[in-house]
Amino acid sequence: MTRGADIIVQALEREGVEVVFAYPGGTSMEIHQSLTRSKIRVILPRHEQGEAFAAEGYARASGRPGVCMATSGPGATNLVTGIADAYMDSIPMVAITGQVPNFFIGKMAFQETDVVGLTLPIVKHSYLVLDINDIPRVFKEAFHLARTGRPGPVLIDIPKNVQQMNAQPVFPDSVDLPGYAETPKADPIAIQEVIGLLAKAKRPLLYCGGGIISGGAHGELLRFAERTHIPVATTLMGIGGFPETHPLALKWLGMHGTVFANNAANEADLLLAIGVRFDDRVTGKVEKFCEHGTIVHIEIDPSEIGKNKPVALPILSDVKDALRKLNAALEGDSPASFKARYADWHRQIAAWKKQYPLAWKPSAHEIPPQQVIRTLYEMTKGDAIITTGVGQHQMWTGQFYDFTKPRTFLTSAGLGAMGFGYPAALGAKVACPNKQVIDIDGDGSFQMNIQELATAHIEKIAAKAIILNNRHLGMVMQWEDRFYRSNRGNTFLADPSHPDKEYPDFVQIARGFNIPARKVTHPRDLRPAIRELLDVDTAYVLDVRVPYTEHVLPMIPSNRTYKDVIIA
Amino acid sequence: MDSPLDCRTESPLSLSMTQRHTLAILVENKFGVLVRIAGLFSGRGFNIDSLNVATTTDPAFSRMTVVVRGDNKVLDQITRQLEKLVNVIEVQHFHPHEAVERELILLKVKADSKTRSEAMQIVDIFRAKIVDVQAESILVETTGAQRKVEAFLSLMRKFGVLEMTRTGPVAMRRAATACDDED
Repeated sequence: MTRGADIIVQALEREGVEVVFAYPGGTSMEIHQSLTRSKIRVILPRHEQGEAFAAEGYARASGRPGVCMATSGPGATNLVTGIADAYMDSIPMVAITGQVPNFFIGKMAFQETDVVGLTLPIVKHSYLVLDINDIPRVFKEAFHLARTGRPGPVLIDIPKNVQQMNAQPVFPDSVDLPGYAETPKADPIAIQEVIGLLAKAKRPLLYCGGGIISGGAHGELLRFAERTHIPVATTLMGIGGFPETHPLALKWLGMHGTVFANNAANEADLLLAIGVRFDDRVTGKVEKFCEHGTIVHIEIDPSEIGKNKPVALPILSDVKDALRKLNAALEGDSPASFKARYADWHRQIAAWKKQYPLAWKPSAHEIPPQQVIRTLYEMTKGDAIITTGVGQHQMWTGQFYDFTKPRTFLTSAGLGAMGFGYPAALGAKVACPNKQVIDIDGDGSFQMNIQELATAHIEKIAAKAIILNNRHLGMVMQWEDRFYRSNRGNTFLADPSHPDKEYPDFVQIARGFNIPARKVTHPRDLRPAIRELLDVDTAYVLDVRVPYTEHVLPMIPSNRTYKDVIIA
Repeated sequence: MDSPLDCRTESPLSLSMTQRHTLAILVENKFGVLVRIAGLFSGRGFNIDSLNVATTTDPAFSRMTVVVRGDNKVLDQITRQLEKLVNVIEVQHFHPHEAVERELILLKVKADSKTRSEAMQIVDIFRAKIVDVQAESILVETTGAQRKVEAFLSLMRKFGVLEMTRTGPVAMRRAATACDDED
């Protein structure tokens, strides 16, 4: 006979789990006890939100499901933001929560919350395990659901008494989920239709999202783009799905995307939308988005097709399968013919690129935030995993770091959860210990999970952080400047009684956690400081003072069109 | 919502609230399924008119019949998201005339020695059934399509309805050649 908690750990081992991000408590300590006897590494965060983001960082960097675990009640509710984040960005995650014993459920027992109920709208699926004999099946299903199809978070809630029971576990070899659709494959007729559309098009564009990355289709995309000579714009989630240094790359589109990507998407006569969901931050006023173009939507999730935007040709498919079939169908065609066919379009795009480059004004005394990112890009030669918080620094990171590989830009895109950056960097570093992992953060976002510096030090995770410190909630401040006549509504984050002084002192905070740190305020100190950050083999915090007057541009105001873009 | 003025204060979603939809949803017979399904409606401000659940011939599965009012496009979205739920096997969206719909109603009306025979006549005409008789009231059961049930109810109202409970419709797609004896 095996104890429930041991069956849980065996189930995790069988799924190949190597690391669990977990903060113990009364109803999950049984599982922690079992984990002390397992080879699985347990990383102790300092807050459950941190562990959920760390699990996401692990999943985003590796493609394997991130596993986090918390106790009932406050432990479980603290996981909620991370679960929502994984749901919005389709990240494979298995979240395990302890629950009060069966006989206490529904009685407002100590540290009881109905976490299955709380998380219903933000999970791919969830389980409340009331029978110890269900544990093997539930874990098998949970991991299968988290990583297949459109990935997402799965929650498993297990009452403490179930963990303490004994049973003879029977581990299934396969899952039986009659209501879970098989991964769809592209209809060959639809593929032929796309080939026909390519021949008629004059201004085609590939608009590619996170589906390229979660579908592992970046190789197929590169091949397809090069063969057809169609330019590629990604979404924020799609960054890294196509090398941004490639001549066909337009970087990313949307509210703060490049002018050339937005112009191309809106003036395209054929838009090939692959693994995307026509998010409002991408389309602006959705009725006007690519108004005159023919839209093909290749998507794994049937509920995304036609959700925000009607499309001419929907193709329900795993994106990799669809791109493979497209590449196969193009086998006989010569790339040169496409190049000639779309030559005018490329001339137009080149003109836009020349007219509207991403740029910033250099300064002799201050450090423009964009320059920090570009310098980091140059010094890492683009070879690093970058995470971000949410806000101005996040957009600038997308703009001024050129990403060439999938799973190297990890950001909370759909949920926009501040505090994501540093714990996600911890998870990414655990998944990829040989890669340089750097969180480019804002002073506001960094403070939201600053306690995870302890995790970095204690667990010896050498994730670095660069704080672009403008002492403001920068993105909201930017909106105040643009749309609210600069009236400040609680967007100043330093000390109003000493507005000129730095507050808080991040260097001193980092030292308190035993983590080396440095502050720079002058442009001449930037490179040496980044050098130091890159060279240390421990965690590191670099606090860079940047002017708060910088705005993220270009900007298409909410629910407007590409023609309303603000350039200066 | 007859006055155009009223419309202005309504959200676009509620403009077409009058459109009635019947969904038949085949689900795995597991706890929590109902709340997952209901959540997709409530999260969008859809009110469920009626909802029925019971097991199918295979006790591992249940069939739900849900009647909702709302915008076609939003409902289409909900249907796709329902199909995505792991415990949902199949969703059928019935258009009027595609399906046979029946509901059961239990009705307690005032009926004493003076009015009882008239009430019984109406019960007979509608092929309803008296299941309990008291000195001052009768308890009637009837099943049928919504129109029949409504007509029966309106005639019984004059006796004075003491209590009523109705199941809301259950529905099944009709075969191409079948006909509904009540249409």
